[in-house]
Amino acid sequence: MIQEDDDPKEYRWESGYEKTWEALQEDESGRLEPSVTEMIQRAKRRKLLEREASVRLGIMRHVYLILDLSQAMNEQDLKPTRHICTLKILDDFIKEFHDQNPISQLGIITTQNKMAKRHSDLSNNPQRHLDCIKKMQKMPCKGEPSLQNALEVALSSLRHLPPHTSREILIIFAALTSCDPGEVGATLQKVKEDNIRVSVVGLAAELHVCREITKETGGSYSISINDMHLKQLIDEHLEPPPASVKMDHTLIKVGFPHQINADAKPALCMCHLDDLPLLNTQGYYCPQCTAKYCDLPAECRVCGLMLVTAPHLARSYRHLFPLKHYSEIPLEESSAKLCYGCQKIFITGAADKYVYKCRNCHQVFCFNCDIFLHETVHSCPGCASNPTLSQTPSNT
Amino acid sequence: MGSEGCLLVMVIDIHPQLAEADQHAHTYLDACISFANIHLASNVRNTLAVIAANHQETRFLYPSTTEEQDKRQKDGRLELLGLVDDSIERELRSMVVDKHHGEQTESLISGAIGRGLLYIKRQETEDILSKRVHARILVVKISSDTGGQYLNYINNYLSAQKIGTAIDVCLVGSDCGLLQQGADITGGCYHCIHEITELLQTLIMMYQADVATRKKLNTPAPEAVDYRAACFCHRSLVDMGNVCSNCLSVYCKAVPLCTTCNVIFQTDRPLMKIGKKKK
Repeated sequence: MIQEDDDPKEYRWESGYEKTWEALQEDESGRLEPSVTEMIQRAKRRKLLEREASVRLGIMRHVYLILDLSQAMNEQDLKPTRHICTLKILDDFIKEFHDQNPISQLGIITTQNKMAKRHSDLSNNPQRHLDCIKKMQKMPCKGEPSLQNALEVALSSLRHLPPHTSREILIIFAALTSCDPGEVGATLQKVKEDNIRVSVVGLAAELHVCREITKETGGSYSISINDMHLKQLIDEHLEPPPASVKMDHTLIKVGFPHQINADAKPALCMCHLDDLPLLNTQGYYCPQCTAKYCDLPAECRVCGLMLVTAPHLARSYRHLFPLKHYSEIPLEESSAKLCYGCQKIFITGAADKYVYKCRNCHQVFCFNCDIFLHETVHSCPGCASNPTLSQTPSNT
Repeated sequence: MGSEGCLLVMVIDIHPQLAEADQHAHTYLDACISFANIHLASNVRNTLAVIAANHQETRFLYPSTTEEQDKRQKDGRLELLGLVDDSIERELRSMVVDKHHGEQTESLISGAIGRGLLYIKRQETEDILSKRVHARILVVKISSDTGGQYLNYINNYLSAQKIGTAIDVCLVGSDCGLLQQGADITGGCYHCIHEITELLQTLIMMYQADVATRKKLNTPAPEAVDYRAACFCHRSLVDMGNVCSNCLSVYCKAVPLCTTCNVIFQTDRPLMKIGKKKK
């Protein structure tokens, strides 16, 4: 796992025999632990390094999730079944997706019995999708999937979106066949013309048709080997993809609603009108039509204004201004005695063999802080503690 | 208060503004140190970290990085408390003394919060029993804010929310919308006092209880939080704005070109109308 994908052109079984155990080495006292820790650290860091890209991103994402619910999903190679396992992963994916892409929208389509059906429309409310996923757990998996029908359904709603949005389709495909009413190539051409990026995550084996679709539309195609790997592959789609060249840029009108004070009159919120909630006083007013919403972000149902708060926008800034990677230096070469962030005193030994230095403020951090800063925080406390660097965003 | 004890990370603002009025600095620091002592004394398992921030740097006051400790008991107090006092005093002195007079800008609170988060994170991973560390951050701030550290603040708030750490804010003097947002996002408590003499009392009454206990207390109702964004062109808060689809910069009027990421907008006709109407 640690050393995979070094050369994507060659298949694993074509390459020479790998002696994976030789990478492990005992230290003077005969222990393997330092060597193993180092390897784990390297793998973690490499994943981070791969991510560096400050190209234009499609931040306003509209993603359709196409889920294969055919007979093939009943296979038990993922425990308990492919069906349950995938839905569980998707449950986490949806939550994380809305957390990381607050102004993006998601929709779910399933395909079974040679047909495709839209289960939830594009929306930025995670709860609806989660309910939908829950319902699917009870649905039987039967028949054959249809790639063409599913793509057509997604296409019918994605093609009308404004040109500044990033349109994506993520297919999770378990079957080895697809039963289509016509030529899938014709649909593929339409998909390509409408500038939609299609990615496929396969559960079984690589299919030529999927490879063709992803290659034509600029998406990614990957096959999972086990449940952990599947989760990893699906989670790769949390990050917004690079914006396609054909994408236009426009100004989008948004509203920043006021929070309602406690002394306001009780009212119904617009987002839960169907389930008849109790009257309450908490919520946010749309600044254009004063409709009330209990949770943000939302699209105003009355006037169609996109309602967000300032932190929602700021949450997406981390994709645009990523924190630069720290440079890795051996402990002996650094003058610092302890980690600038967590105050951990460096010990010459296993875990602190390398320390990490910010290129802007030259503060030194330990491995754990480096990972935490780049994965979660996305801003450097060293730069923020420097009077000159803190005023201009250090990471632009 | 739970028997597990909790970790309190205090971020205190040591802006030179503090020295403007007589006795202010004294009362202020006294209140902060007393509160630190109360926290440690109220439960054996409670732990503490104190980080100071001024306009030049941020520094850990306790646990101190320069190790020269005389662990002898003095005047019958608990050794730990004496240690905390000494450490804070020593670090503060060196921090205030070796300042080279620069421009007096805002305090670097966001850097201090960031370091506090990393400290909490380390305590969590190092706990052998892998129990959840009940940690919270308390920011005591006296100086005003300009919003130059906006992105750093927001990044800190979002990560604090992710690791389940509350950020409490106690302001002396004027309100600060940015810190109020932070308290609201992370589930902390926000309060603004006007007189520095009220500080210790407020800290004890409102901030001493941990987050779980606080629900049972009858604290002042939280005010409505202002979540409006400031536009990039005039730095004024807007109710409705135009957002660049590429970089999410906020503009209060329709503009032909994004000044942040230099893209030219496709000026559709409806958009122009909106722009004209507004004028």
